[in-house]
Amino acid sequence: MNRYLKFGIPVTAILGTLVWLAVSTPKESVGYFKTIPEVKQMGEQAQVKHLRVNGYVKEGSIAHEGSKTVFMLVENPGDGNVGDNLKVVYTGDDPLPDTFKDRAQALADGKLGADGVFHATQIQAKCASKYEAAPPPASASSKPI
Amino acid sequence: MENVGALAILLAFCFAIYAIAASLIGKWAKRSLLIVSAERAVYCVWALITTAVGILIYLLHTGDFRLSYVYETSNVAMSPLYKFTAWWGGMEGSLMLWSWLLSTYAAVVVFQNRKKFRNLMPYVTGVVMTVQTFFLTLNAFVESPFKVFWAGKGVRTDLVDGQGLNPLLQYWTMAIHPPMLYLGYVGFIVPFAFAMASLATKQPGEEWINTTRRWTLVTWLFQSTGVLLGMNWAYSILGWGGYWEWDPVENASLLPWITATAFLHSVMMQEKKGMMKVWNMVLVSTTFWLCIFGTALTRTGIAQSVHAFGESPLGPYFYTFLALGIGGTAWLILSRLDYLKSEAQLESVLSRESSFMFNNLVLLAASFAILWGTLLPVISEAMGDKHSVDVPFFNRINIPIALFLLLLTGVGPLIAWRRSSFESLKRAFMWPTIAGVAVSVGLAIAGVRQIYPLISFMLCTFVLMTVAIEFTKGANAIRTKSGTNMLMSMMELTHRNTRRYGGYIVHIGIVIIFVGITGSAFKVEQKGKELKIGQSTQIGNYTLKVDAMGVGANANYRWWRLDLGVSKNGESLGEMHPERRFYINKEQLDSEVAIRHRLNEDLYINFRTDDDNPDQVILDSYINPLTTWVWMGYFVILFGTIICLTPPKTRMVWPRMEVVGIAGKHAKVEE
Repeated sequence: MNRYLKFGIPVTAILGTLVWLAVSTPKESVGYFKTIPEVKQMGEQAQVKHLRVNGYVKEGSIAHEGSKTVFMLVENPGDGNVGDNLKVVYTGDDPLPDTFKDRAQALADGKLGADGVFHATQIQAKCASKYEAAPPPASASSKPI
Repeated sequence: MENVGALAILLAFCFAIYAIAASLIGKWAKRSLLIVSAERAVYCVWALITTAVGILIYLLHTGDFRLSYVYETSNVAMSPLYKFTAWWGGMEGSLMLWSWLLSTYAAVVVFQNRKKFRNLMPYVTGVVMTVQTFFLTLNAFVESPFKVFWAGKGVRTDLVDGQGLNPLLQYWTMAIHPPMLYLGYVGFIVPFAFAMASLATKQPGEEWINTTRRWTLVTWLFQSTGVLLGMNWAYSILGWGGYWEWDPVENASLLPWITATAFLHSVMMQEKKGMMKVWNMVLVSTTFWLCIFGTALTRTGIAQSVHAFGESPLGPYFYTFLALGIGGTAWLILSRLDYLKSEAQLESVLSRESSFMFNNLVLLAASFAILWGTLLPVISEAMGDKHSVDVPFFNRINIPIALFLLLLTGVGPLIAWRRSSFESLKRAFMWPTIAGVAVSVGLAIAGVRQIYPLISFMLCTFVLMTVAIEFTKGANAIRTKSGTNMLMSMMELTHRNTRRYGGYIVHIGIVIIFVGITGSAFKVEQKGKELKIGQSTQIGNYTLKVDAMGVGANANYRWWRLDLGVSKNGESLGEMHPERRFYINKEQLDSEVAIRHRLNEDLYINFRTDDDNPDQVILDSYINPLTTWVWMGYFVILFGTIICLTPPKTRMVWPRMEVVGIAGKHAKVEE
């Protein structure tokens, strides 16, 4: 048998299988990153696709209702909380991360319900001072020497 | 004090540039004194960076909170150990660690080869110092650890305590994980530099491979250690009950390990058969640049991750460096293709050569898939529709690949070079195959229905059997000749060809890790169980009863500690004590999970307090079968790699050994 063919067949078979596995990945494990305004513009599509919405937890909005956690996700950080907001209901089994608190940056994973409420099955959160601490109080600014 | 540190970094930067210039000019102008002076400059770079690091550690210990780095990563109440590990607990310090390790490696390489490879060394120095210059640029001008807080015109001196090291990092494996991983990442510079030097000097030979084999193995061992420690840290600290979730940063640490593993295997093809020369160049370069890429991924904020550092201005620096470096490497390899011609061709699909080829093919496919999945958010964002894939995607592709590799682990070492007959295959693999099938049939009868675990356990048995047969066959031959017992004969056998039998031991370690990973398919979990003090819950055969909750505080954190009575099938197993902490200065909550490690399964407990009901806790419990095997496998790999690094007892070659060879030179004589 031709040498190229002899090696070509198994190589193609292996790579072909892998490509098939990659392409046929179930839709649920592909998540689309959207901002809050984008979610609102998506219309019906937002209720079908699996979305990852990035935003900030509105101060004082976290409430626990039984096993559910409800909060408001807003587009901009800071005290003003200006911009669009989105009501999120978290129904997942996993405990909410320790970093999930008021004003934290959060990534809600889930689908938009017909009622316009976002149903999250997973929440990732990152507090502003995750690894890089915020500068100390007073009007100090830091500068390299 | 901090000025001296900053000055030392600046001076090191100048010396590194001098070393590049002097070694290259010295080489071209044939001035050996200039080359020697470049090597001296390498020692100076090390001394200067060491000084800077020493000062940084001193400032962290004394708590000089005028410095922003000290303020962010240290506080008064922290233990001295963590004040030391705060060195790499933040962005600036961890880049200092990189620089320091790199300069240490550079100094060692230059010292080791001060009398050898005079032809290659100027280029080696040049390559290493170029990378050093890049990192010193970051240390000196972008992310200096010696920044102080300014207020108006003066330095702020009013800060009496810092925020302290991130609580997640205040754990022993995290204390040694970064240095280990970096030793592996940074260490790959040495084989890479030698490879580039041999290309630059147009040396066709295997000299660079033989010289750097030990370096490659040692750095591979450090990488393995780093990855495993990272997994152990995730398991013991992050509190979600597992150790791997295809997080971008985990992937970044795995990628160079995969290509390094491919490299370790394919160099054998070059040593023994003079094949795959271009490929090895590509692999060693890919591994090195993936190390740099991994460093970039964790530091530029490009990927969302649980343990990436925050956003930073480093991105453009890293991308420029990566682009130039990869471009330069590719150009160098392409322009030297003529010197990298293969001396033999693949003949048969059933041969050692082709098993190496398939090993490399799937390892590369795995790293490509992981890289793709990791970078998908970035790639798709550039194309306008940002999306990402999660755990199922990675598992879907990598589980079949891993199983195929496991098969090759058993087949590869036993199959003959050039071509194998069906008869010889049957002879070698009949019993391992029967044993493997028997195990999975037994498991299927016992009620295991998942297909991947069945295949995995079958292949694990298969590989273990092939290795066991290899050992007993070889040892038997020695025993009949010398009359010693079996154990002594096995030790003698291993000692005669440390590389081969050490390699087998590493393979056993890999199999043990596979067993551990496969165990995760049978995980049992119960999350978010609300329990009042005195109540109990059931998971698997275990009954968990909340006996009491203690509350307390020290200078560093407040804590809640659970007394959890554990019994299995009605029989008491004593108490477990998961803990919840609130780090005061960082204002951050943290879990100290309780894990009952056993060979067959771990019982893993995490809990949260309930703000609304102080007498209630929310309990997460998991049963993780066979997880301990993952950590055990590591120690076997460690042992096997150390054996590989031990010089063999004899360099003598006899026909049987020639097939796998002690050193490439001898195998070639045979051809």
